[in-house]
Amino acid sequence: MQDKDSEIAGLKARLAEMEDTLRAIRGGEVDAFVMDGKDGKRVYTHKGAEEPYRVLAERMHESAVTLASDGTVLYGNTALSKLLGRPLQKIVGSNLYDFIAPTSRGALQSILLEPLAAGRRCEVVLRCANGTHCPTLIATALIPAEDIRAVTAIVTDLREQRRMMELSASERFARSVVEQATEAVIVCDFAGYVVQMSKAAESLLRDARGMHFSDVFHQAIDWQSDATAFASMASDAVRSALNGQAVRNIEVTAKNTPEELRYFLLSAGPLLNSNENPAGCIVTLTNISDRKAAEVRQRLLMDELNHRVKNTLAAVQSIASHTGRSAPDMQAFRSDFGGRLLALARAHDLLTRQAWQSAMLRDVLRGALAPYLCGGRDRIQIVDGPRIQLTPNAAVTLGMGIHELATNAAKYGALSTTTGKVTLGWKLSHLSEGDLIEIVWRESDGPRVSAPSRRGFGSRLIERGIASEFGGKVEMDYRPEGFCCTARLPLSEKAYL
Amino acid sequence: MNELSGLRILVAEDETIVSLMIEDLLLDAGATVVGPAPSVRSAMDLLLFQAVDGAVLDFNLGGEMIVPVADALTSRQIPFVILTGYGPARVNTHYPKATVLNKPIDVQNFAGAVFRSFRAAAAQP
Repeated sequence: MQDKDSEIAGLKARLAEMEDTLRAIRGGEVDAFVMDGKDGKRVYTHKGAEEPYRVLAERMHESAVTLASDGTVLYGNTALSKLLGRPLQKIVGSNLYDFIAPTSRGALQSILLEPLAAGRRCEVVLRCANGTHCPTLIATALIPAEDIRAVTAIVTDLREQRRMMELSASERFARSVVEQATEAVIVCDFAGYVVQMSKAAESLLRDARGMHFSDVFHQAIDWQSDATAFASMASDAVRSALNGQAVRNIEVTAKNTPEELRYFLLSAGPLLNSNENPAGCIVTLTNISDRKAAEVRQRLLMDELNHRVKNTLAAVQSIASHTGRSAPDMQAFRSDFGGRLLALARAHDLLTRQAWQSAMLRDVLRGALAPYLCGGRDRIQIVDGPRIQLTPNAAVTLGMGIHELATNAAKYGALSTTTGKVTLGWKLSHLSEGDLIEIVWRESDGPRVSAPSRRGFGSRLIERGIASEFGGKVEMDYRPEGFCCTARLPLSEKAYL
Repeated sequence: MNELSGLRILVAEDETIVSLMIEDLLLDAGATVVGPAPSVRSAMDLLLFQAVDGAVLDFNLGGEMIVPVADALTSRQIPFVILTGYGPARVNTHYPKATVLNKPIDVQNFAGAVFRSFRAAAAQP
């Protein structure tokens, strides 16, 4: 028991002694210290330490420097000379402040002001002889010189580390660029294995990372037919890119479902390494199905427009032909044809306003009579009835028919005198066989009326139009006190509430 | 010029103004006009109840294609020409052999073209 106590006391004493020694070393209070070596105890003085340190420092890959507190270089190793690009003779004895960037002066100063505080580190940018700047990490180590207070430091070149950091940052950046791309982007290595895909590519081809490109388009794709043609085109493109030959915007199609054809633009380009050799390739698939669909829509619209224009031209042709048959002379032709053409144009205006879907009956009638409705004391009075919609063809026919009634009235009827009047109105009658729209054109206070000797374009147009467009009937009553025209048409899909 | 003299010709055309012109052109050439029918349904009705020697059909009747009428005529070996504002390409995909006349109509040659088309159809087996 007593042995154990004395052993513990002995150990404690040695521990205290060692701690004192360490404290003294740290504080720079000792000039020499004793260490157990393999040949027994050895005394290291600063002088004695210098030689092995020098040997070690010379062989070190990293730069080592011993600095006086004012920055004077007391010692530097070969690596430092290489780093600075200057011979050692020009370094030793110079001041290190001369070899650093102005921005690093503060950092160096903070080390030198506490020369013996070992283990301090700071970043200092060296100015090398070739004019380049070199970021370094200076870490102080305590190996005190004999006579003067000095600090020894290891200078680590940070260029490589920086380069690696930049590289990894740029790689992260490139990775996120690829991932976030809205197009399907696939990156292959030099052997053709997929190393990276964008999210869009994943949703198209599933996760194909690690797969060989020749399998990607075959296996990962869910396209039922055309897959083979598509895969072989895609594989050819990748192969060509890996050989350094870019392939740009080939149009490929793939069937997503039997009904839905999808269109893609396929591009593949080589990724070159620093020796300008292909180190892989990047493949993009741009979905152009929407663009294609828009093109098809556009073509349909153009077709429809062409059809409409041709039909309108045919209508104009018919108007010209009929006007030519009935007009007694060229002047009559010009004025009749011009009036009819304008009536047709007004009907078209109404339809365009409603996207060529329908037109209101009241607008059609007012449009057709526009030249006679100048505001104020109109000779034609329109009595509005219920709201009724007309299909495009029905609207054109009815508008043209009303125009004919008005021109006839102006030539031979109530509007040919100063006193005559016209009343136009419509109403809905509920009959046992269905609802009927009744449109009545009634002339009064004009000249005495007699039936015409032959039927003109106007009355044919009205009778034919009401019959064929609406399945209705027209009654023309040439009563002496005033002409009256009544059109009765059933409510239908062509004329509806 | 009575190339179509004595023939009863069905006209299917939804635009009244245009149908009046077609009617006049056929009447001038001596034909009798059946119709004009403004829709596929009314054209089919006319075919049921009236004797017809030939037909002039607008390809698009109020948004409906003339196909059922043309098929009915084909099965009865009644010749027809198709009028269209779409251009011949669209019609030809349906009726590669049909005579297609464009709108607006070549008035001078209309009756002659209809006549030649009917004669050519009659010459076929």
